[in-house]
Amino acid sequence: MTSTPASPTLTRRLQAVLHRRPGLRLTGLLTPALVWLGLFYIAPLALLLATAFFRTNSFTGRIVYDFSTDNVVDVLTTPEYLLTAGRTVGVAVGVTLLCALLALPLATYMALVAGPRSRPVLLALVLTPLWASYLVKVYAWRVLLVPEGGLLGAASPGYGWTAVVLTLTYLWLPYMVLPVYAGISSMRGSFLEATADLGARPWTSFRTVVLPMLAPAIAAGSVFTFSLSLGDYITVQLVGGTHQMLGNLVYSTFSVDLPFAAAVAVLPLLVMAAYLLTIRRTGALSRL
Amino acid sequence: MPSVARTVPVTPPQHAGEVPAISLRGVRKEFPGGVVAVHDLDLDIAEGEFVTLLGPSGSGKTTVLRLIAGFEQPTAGTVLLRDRDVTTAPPFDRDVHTVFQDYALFPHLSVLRNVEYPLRIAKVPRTERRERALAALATVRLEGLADRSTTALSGGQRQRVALARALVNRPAVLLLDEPLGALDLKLREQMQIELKEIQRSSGITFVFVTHDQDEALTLADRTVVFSEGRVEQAGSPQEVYERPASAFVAGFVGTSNVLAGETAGTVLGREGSWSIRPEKITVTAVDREAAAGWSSTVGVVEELVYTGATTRCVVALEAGGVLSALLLNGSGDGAPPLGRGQTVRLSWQPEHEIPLM
Repeated sequence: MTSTPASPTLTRRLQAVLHRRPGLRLTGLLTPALVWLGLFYIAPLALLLATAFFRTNSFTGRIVYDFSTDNVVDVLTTPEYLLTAGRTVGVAVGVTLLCALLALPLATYMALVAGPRSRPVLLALVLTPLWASYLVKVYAWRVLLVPEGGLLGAASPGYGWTAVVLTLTYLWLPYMVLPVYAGISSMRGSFLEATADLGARPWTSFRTVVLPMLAPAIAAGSVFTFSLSLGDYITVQLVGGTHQMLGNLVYSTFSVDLPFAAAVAVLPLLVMAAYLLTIRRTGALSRL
Repeated sequence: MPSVARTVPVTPPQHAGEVPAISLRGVRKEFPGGVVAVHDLDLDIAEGEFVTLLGPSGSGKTTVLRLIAGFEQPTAGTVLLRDRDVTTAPPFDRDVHTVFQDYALFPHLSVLRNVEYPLRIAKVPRTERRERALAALATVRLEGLADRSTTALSGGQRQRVALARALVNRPAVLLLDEPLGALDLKLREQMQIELKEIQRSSGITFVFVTHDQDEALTLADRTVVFSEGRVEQAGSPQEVYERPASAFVAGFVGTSNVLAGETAGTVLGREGSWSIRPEKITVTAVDREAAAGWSSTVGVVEELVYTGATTRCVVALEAGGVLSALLLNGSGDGAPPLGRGQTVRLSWQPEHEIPLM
């Protein structure tokens, strides 16, 4: 022991104080995270919202710090922007549904059919796409989807919405598989046998017990797939052809007209807030 | 080469001539890897009978239950439910319900909705469904908890919900897979009485799997003892207990007191294996003659185990071997208390010497 004689007693006294005062302990543990959250998430979000209500001088390109609802009203009333918002939500919904459809049988197999030895291997395989960089994967899909003459040949859907949904589904699938797998694992035991035993055919059993029991898990996974798709702009740039999502709109305007870009960015925020509020009812948020 | 299957013809004592509720004919179940869980089983279970399948774990009793429920398909043989061949029918196509060991209550449904589930599947109208579910909950004395979540229930309550759910649409047969295993002793004894009552009043055929011999004897009209995938003995609890057909049954049901080989020769004057139930043996002072016509032998008290109502007295016989006697801790007949190391005389009526195969 080479520590100074004073330090053990000091540590001990500190431990004693912390032991006696759980409030202090909790404050100490939470402060760093809360500061981080406030400084890097809440404050920028507030700034973003505030910026949406400024405007840009169209001659100088400078931000004018006057309160104005022009940008927000513009975004909320212009059909083109709303159409883009609608398409973005459409892509996010499509990706989420496709992920759920793929994840259900896969997770069912992993949780209920696969043996205890192959289970961790399958889990690792599901996670492997997360080991590669996002950009690498999207470029790989770009190559894969080259219209005519690509790897897929005539089977390629070409660049467009289909390609965007396919690529995003590939990217976010693990985020759906993991919670669904956890949900199905909780159904080990006799649940499925019990439904059959009580007279339910497989489809009825799926509808009346499996799906309701998995709803929170699917909702938890959809928070990831939906929000990640909603904010994406790189995938659509690389495989979306000429199409645009809300993210592209923000990306292409923020250097020219920051307040307008901020106003556009409010749209996915609203969608996401509405989505989370809806989902909270299923109890999914406690499963994240 | 497979050993020659010893099939025990098992016919229920009552309802002779009627169509049995369950009939297993030459049923064999072999799992991948060559493990034979059930060997060529012939078993008839009568309508309204309470049958317990008793055996140690791995004896095949649960597999038999799963074959009846339809969760497993036999490798050979036929399964008949009320004379209908259901050998390959899926579970949802059999008029059989199961109370699972883990209860398998649906966590997303309330108690009432759990019990309503089979009625919902059978498309029973809403009001009737509710009425019948509430009535079923009343039979298991849970009517007050209908709107509770099943996750908020105690083990005993869950067990009752599972029972109500399995009984609500009156199946032809109710299968119970060690349903009382997770309950504490008091609750288990209470549930045994209630189960018996429910079975009697509903008239539904109960098949109850257990490894607990007391439970098997308490509940059953007929007990079927399994060992290594075969029926060792089937009969009323009295028959199985008083007249065990084999050393296995004698040992598994109750405490075995087996006299075999030379000991049997010396004590009983006969060769072979003999079982004597501990409570049939009287312990007296060594100098007291046994009653006329009784068999008797002498030994040294090796151990005295006090268990409240009874004391188990383990005696090492002079002729070799060990016998246990079960003494009721009654008011006593003035006999001096026993002590370890004391030499005593054990005696019993010869009719309690049960030959074992």
